[in-house]
Amino acid sequence: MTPERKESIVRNWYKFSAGGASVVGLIIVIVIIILAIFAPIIAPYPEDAGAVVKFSESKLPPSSKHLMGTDTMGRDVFSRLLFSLKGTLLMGVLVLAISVPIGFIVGVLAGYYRDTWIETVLMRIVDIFLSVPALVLALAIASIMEPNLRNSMIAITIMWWPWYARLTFGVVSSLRTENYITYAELTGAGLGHIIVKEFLPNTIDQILTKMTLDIGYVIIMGATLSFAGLGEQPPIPALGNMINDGVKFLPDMWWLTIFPAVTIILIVLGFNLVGDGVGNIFNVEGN
Amino acid sequence: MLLFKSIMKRLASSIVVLLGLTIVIFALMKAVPGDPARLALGPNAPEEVLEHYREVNHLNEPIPVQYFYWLSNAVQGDFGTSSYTQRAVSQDIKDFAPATIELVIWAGIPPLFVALFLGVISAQHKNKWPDYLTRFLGYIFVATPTFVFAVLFILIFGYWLPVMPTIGGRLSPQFTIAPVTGMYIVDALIGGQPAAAWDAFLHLLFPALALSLGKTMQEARITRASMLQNADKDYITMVTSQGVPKKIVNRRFLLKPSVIPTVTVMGMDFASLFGNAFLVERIFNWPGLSSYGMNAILNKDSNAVVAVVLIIGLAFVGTSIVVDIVAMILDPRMRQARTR
Repeated sequence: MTPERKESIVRNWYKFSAGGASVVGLIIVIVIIILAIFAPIIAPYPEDAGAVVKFSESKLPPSSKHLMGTDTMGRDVFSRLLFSLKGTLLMGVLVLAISVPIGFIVGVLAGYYRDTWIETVLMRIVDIFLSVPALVLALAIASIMEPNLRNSMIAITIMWWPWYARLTFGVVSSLRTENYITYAELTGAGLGHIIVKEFLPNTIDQILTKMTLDIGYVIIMGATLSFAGLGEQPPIPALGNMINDGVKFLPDMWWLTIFPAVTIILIVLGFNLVGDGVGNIFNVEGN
Repeated sequence: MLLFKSIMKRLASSIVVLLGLTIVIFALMKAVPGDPARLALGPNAPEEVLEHYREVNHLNEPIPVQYFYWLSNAVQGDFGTSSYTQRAVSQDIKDFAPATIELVIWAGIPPLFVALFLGVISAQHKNKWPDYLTRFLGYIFVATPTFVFAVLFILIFGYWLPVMPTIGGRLSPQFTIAPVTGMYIVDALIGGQPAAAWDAFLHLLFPALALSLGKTMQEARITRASMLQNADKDYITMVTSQGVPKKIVNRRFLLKPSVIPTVTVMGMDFASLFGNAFLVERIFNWPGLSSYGMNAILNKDSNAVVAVVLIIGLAFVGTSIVVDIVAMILDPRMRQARTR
């Protein structure tokens, strides 16, 4: 590692950790990822992630044997919670991994062909998708497909790319008339070259910041669809469907609801704090 | 004049967007698997009846033709019949809309002032306890999905500290309120029933809080950030150095430019309340448009889904126009930006 590289890492870490909250967020995120990966090993009752019935152990409050109690079928809530983490994280990562490149390409094309019909068509399409609350159309889209994790991800992806198209368009359309872009065009650089070598480096800071802040929101929306019954289906555990199951048994079996609820809050909090730290590195204001 | 021209341009582009939205929604409706005639009339309907239904509803026409039939009906407020309630969708919407409007107004407008207040307090006491407390709660509330707020409120305020009517709805059954505006609290006060108004308020309070807490804290955060940013500007240094008291500097010179970003965000948040209301209304048994829409989605009642999505899109676009106009009035620079 060169000294300059090392110095830049140290400087970025200093900016990231300013204030301390982002470090807490990073720790939360790392712990969640580890728990998600090693769920089959850590979970005290790994078989409880499926359709198991243990009547003798049903409806037990939290104890040393069942840290977060058991549900009506006698399954260990803690074990089910651990198994739900993987789907939750996949939701956040995959939706962005697909919607960000799509949004970037649409935004960069609209920005490059500013003031032509291409901009008009592309940005009007973006406006259409931004003209309804994302959750409403995502629910409607998810409802016409078979309910499962993959389809809920598709529904959210359809509603998510326009934000990145608008962000990229904003940056690119203001860079469009810069001298170095004109220079690249005059020296014969192709569109692909200009996008990758000129526009991408200039938008990546804002995109990365928005992505880290968005993971939490995507997870919230995924959990919301799952709560509505349009995500992962029982017996597969997901944070949203666990809360939905638990609501019927309030207030007596409060542990069915409280633990998944707190878990969602912690995960989203962790990613939001990390997002703030990433924003500090790039000097980009969140939202 | 510039303001008027900007507003007209804004309206024109909104109409294009709304037309586009109708195409998306119509495509969505056509993507629902299964025969629409069969879905509407049930599994036992004979073939002649199905064929008659298709003929009457233009279902044998090509898709673009069907779209124009549908659109011309929709523009006149005819969205067909709901397969779930077996009534005209437009009638359902008329019945359910006031509850949602009441909820969204209470969840949208008073929290704005709370957000501005918290943001200003937080900025003026930067890195002291009011600031830390606001920011700490902000992080937690922003990370909490609205449906989680709703569920936690039912547990905490419905059962543990029973201040909230747990059955939900808009009003306890012993009260009846004569409809005037459709908003129960206002109507009860007009009708001289303070007890009913209080009861309606208790029913409304927790759904409204569940909808607004996260947004409020986010708006507070944006206000704080822009207050701090503007406080470093030269013109503030200038008025301060001229000996203008700090109170007047804050109120007259700092607050207005700092409020503009909050107003813009607040408008979008206000519009997105219609979306978040989907689950909150359902959890609190709030008889509004959103819980009607949610039921329609879960029962694959496509006429009703389409109508609700379209109405919400209309409300969303309308709100963002109003917000843009307010922003243009507050900030002359915005008028330039919009005319391009």
